[in-house]
Amino acid sequence: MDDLRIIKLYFDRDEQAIEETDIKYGKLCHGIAYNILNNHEDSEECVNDTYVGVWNTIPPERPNNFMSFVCKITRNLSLKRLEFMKREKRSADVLLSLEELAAVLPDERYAPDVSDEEVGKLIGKFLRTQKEDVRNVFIRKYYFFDSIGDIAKRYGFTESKTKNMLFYTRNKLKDYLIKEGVEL
Amino acid sequence: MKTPRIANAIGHIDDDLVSGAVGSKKKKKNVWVKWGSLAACFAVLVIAGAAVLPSRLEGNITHRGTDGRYKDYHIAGESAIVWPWEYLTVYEKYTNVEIDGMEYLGKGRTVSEALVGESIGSYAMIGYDKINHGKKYTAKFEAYALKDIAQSQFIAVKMEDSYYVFQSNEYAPPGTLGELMDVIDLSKVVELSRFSENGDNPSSNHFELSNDDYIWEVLADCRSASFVEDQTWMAGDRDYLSFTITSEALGVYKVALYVTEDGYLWTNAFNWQYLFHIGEEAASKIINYAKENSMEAEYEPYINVVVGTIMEITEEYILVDDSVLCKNPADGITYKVMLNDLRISRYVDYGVIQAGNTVQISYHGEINENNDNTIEGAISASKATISDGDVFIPE
Repeated sequence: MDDLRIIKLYFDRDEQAIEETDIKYGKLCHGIAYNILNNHEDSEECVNDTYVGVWNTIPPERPNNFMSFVCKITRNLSLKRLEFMKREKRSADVLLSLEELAAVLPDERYAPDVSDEEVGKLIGKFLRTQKEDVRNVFIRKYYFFDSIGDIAKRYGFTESKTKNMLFYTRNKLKDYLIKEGVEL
Repeated sequence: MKTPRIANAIGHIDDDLVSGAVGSKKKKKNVWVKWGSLAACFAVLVIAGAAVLPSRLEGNITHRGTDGRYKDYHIAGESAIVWPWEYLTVYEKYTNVEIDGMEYLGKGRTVSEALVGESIGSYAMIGYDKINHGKKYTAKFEAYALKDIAQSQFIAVKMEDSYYVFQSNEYAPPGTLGELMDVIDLSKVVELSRFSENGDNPSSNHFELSNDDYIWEVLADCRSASFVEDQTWMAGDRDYLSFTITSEALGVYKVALYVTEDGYLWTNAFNWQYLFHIGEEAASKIINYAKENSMEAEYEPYINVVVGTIMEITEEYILVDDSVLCKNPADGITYKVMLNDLRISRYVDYGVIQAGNTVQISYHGEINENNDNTIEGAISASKATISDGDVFIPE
């Protein structure tokens, strides 16, 4: 079913909307949640919470890009849940990704006057100046939290090339944020 | 554990960026680019035995070894080492430069001073020590225009007394062959000499052309030949000549230029594949001229390789004995690989290879048979293991 019709089901308060969302994006959402949470039970709960979140948000909201809208909710909920998970349950992969990101911009002590949303817009602006594959590798890693192995396979790179690419992009992003006034 | 702020911020990037990455996958790229930019960490892949035999044995090559001296084997694998900063060559340390908002990437190859034009200023370049927490280094280098090439395409950067070629990283293909000729004087920077029929492999027929003036005359008449935007184009079953190009000014080593009988000119000399439709008439003029005015030549492998066991390592050289590959170990030959270049000496200094290891050494140039089978131009080494007659190079 196309996204417009699914959104219409939400507006009609038809519970079929959730089923259609699950059919179309369930696997994608589960993938994101599993990348972050590293276990099926928590991921499943996060995906279900995603559907509740979508149900509660539409209406009034009418997303232009339904797929990204759903992914974003899953990602947010999964990262929130990760904060409360015991350390030994967390995946080493995702912890490493978060550490790598923390080295770029750790917390609110830095640039407290700039909102996360504004920083997000700056990151988007920066990513648009990067080559397509560099941009997508970065997003696959730090938005979807794909493993290095999966990213390398997806784009036909070696793992070391993928790591190097990410390394350079993080450094460039950090330089860019400093240039844009996000003091670090 | 608190989620780092930037992880939350990334959640706010625009929807189209997210959906763009969802559907993205491997792009069909010019597969030859990898070969063209072999400079730094070298990667070698499945090569049949004959293609990697030392050049001293040329003439005796068969597909299964040299006069039956070698066992049946093949080499496969890849080696990529992240070197500490002090083991990097200068062109590996500083790989890109931004000039007037345009990014240029190093090709890892030097160009003679005679081909270098006027200075275009001094620019800061940034390098990162990947091992040492990404420690940032900045150095200033002088950039120069290259003769016969527009600055928008290629430049040279002087680093440690050598000039290195850098190419613009922007994909902006010319609309026609004429437009390409306007920014790069191809007849001056590219020599069309060695070529083969229908691909460059050991079983093709190979030729050498002594003068390429006529080909450039024909191409000069094809200025209006249009650029064909087709990343999936392959020579496939077409009949074609494959010229091998090494150009100092373009910073390319043994890349290819095809002229197909059905009228296409294809090359991978510019990082991306460039394809022009020059028409059947021009193509047949070039093909006929090349065939009628060339001499048969021997096959030249892309890169020369010796495989063997390290017998001894000194400060100046390593001794590699290839008996391990021989059916009869007594037929083994010992090669003296000189450690006169950082690209090879770092493998020893950093402890990547040690006495007793089976290794694959890649080199440019010739083996000096009159002087202990000396190899002067070694550029990389990889550890190899042999099992059941096959050599595997572990990742």
